[in-house]
Amino acid sequence: MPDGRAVGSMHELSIARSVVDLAVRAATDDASERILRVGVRVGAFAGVDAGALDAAFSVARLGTAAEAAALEISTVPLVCHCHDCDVDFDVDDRHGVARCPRCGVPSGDIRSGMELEVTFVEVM
Amino acid sequence: MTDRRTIGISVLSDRDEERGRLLEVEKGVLARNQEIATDNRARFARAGLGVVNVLSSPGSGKTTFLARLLSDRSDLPAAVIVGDLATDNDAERLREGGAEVVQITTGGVCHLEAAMVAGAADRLELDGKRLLLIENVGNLVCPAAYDLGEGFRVVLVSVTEGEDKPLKYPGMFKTADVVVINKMDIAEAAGFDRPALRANLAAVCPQATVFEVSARTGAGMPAFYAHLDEHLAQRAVPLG
Repeated sequence: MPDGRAVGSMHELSIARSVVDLAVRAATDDASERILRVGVRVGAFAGVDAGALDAAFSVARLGTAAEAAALEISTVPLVCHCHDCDVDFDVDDRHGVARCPRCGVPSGDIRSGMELEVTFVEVM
Repeated sequence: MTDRRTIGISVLSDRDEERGRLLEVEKGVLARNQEIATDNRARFARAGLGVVNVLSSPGSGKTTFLARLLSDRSDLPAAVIVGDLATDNDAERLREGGAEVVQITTGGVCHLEAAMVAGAADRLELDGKRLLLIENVGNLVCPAAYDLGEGFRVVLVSVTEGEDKPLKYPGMFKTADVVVINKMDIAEAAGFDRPALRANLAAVCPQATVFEVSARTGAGMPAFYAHLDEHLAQRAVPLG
């Protein structure tokens, strides 16, 4: 979200630190020394800018087992549910206006698109 | 460890010694915050507290809104947690009204986290309180993702901010239980386009209940109080 960028850097840095922490913990539990790659899933409306997160990750990883790790970001689109039509639908509006494609009524019932998760860690 | 297992061998490199193993993690980045928020919520429920997380841009009138609420509803014993980047000014203003106020100076951090609220709650006397108000850091982006353990979330927007605010910050508005449109007393002078903002709110956050108020004059506040009372009635600890 472009509007998030101006104030987003600080936020993405703390998110990136959490990502590194989770990855290092997974590697430590696995008795692995080096992290090659970290996968994250970011909802389109999670309030996190992928570019800013990537930049923040390149700083947050320093001095950890993820020092040379790459960040792999997969973006999850916003999916809402229409109660009247009983359907889930993808929302491609960047402002998040979630009108049901069948009946046109906006939905506030979010089924995905707000997540922020570490999905995998590649270690060696 | 049940939450991680090897799910494959990387094929990024041709050389065996450079191939890593993939560990499945599937963990929320903010999982720790969520756990603490869940603890907070249980703790506040045990205390019979209604907890309101108030969010907005800087200057939308969060502090005035809370000051009005505290003064109009002095029948509700209240505590306030104020998040501020650097100063103590907002906390001072609210303390003048007689409420117990704890300030969290985030030192530049752009949002409150559940752990900060837990720490602040430790410094408050919550026994006998009915209401805990949390004034979040003025920011419509970062605080959206952080559950604090609140009962409901109020996003404040004022008539001078532009009717497209919900379209610019959908991530925040989509998490709102209540939207309060503030500074209605100067709506006309500000050239406020009420139908446009209402339409944008209905499109971006149809789940939110919307109130139009002037925190400065107090107009429109009773409708919000009725909503708050309804929430508190659900939280009330049964007597005996």
